[in-house]
Amino acid sequence: MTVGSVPLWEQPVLRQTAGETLRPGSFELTDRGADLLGFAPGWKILDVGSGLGASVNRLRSRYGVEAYGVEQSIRQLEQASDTSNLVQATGDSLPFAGGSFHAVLCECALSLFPNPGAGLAEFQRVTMPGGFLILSDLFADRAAPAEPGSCAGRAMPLASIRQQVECNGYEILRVEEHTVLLKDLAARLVLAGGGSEKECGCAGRKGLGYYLMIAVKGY
Amino acid sequence: MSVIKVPEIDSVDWSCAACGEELVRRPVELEYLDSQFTVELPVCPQCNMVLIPKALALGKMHQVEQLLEDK
Repeated sequence: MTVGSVPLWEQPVLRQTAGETLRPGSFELTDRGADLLGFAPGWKILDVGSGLGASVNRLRSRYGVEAYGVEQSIRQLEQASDTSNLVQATGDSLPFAGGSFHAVLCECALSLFPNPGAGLAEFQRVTMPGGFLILSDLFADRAAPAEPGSCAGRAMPLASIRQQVECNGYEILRVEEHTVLLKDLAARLVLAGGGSEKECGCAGRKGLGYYLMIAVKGY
Repeated sequence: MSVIKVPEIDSVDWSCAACGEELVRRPVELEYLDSQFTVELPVCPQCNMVLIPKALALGKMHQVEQLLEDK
């Protein structure tokens, strides 16, 4: 999702329509993943692609977990209200020791990785044995030519995502479709946008969906 | 969810034919299929009649309907 050279997630219109989370569903899928896995006080959680740190703050306050965020965009970090638990790094080179986290969260960000497989391998490395992966992101009904900097243009088929997750040492526990959340945000962006159909790639591209996937790392 | 401000509404300057009141911008709940949006639209402060400008109805709202219908 890009307009000119500025990606959608760096534009004020996304914050106005999606709120601090900058993604479909706001905290709905964050909470669903945390509730399904029973996040408990003391758990160490890493949010990769943490943006403004909204999920990190949410998980700390709602579940009492020790949550940290990794974000590569300096602009996003500069706009975050609290950077005390956020680190500037890329998702495929995480500055944490192996086996550090009970769970790794990656919300609406994996499709932006230059190499999602390398990212998943890194998530697996920093997750402790028996720990969890929570992914939520766009998927496409078929592979499309990648558009740099566009999450809609880089969305992968769900079968490919499943395969890459399993190839990186995870067992998939659950996959849910939440495409209605994507449509809802795309509709809000259309209404709030300046009239261009290119405001949001999700609105212009057919066959896009949104998923929540939960997986466990083997012992 | 926050109120959606539609840029096109800024230029709307209408009065209510029935009441003679100038329309004011207020949050209005719009529902379509399973989605609900709170959008700032021109409303008569007397009778609460809502004006949806033609350009909005045929433009963005039509686009949103198609999007939600997956067309």
